[in-house]
Amino acid sequence: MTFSAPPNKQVAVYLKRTVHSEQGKAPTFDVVASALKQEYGANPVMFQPTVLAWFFNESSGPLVPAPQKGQPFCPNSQTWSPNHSISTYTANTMPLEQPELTHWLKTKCGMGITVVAELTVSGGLVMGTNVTMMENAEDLRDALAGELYIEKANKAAKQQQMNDAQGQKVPKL
Amino acid sequence: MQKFATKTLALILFLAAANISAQRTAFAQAVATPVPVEPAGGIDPSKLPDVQGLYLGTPADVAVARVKSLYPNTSRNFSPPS
Repeated sequence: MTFSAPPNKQVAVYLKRTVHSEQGKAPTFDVVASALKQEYGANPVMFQPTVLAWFFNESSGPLVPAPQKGQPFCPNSQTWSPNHSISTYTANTMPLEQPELTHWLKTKCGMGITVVAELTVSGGLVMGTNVTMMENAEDLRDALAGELYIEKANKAAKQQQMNDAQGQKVPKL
Repeated sequence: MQKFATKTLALILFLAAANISAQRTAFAQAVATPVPVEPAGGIDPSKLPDVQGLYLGTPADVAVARVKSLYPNTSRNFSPPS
């Protein structure tokens, strides 16, 4: 579970659950797929024969346009929200600029909510299930707010440094 | 010869202009990529997908309490981010 970071309200933007089948009790692929469809919707996008995905908007309606099979980043999508600590959301300490924001948007698997189920199948039996869900839109909004907050703090610190420097005496020349 | 040079120069200028135009169009499209806006009235986590009653969009304190109730014997320390 990953939460978004301040200054916005911290909410769960990433959830992942892994279930391993007990020895001798592995269900069939059809049984698990049917249960997943009952839980998340009858018509998943099949990224691979054992990877099912669903897409929603933030009002729980269908996401339009929904990512399709060829869309990269969906099975391995990452959050912008930190899973530990963070000093910047950007690739370096420079302020976020349009090209990087565009990259952020492009690397998201749809600007809504994604649910991706990856099944580990052996001999028709499901040995393991990974269900990952992300709130991409909230994650992006909160990351943007966080980045602006960090930039503002950095700017203030730099200004303070300049103010302090102005009070320093000139060394003997 | 001079006529050929003039035509070549015109072609180069035309291609350069076309390239700048294409770059501007690409940038305009990038700028136009929208950041999603939160729905009017906010987000209701209970309407979003869940795993074992743990919903996306749930505030940190509520989510941590839910995890603790699901796994009361866990030795991990689930603390809401401060």
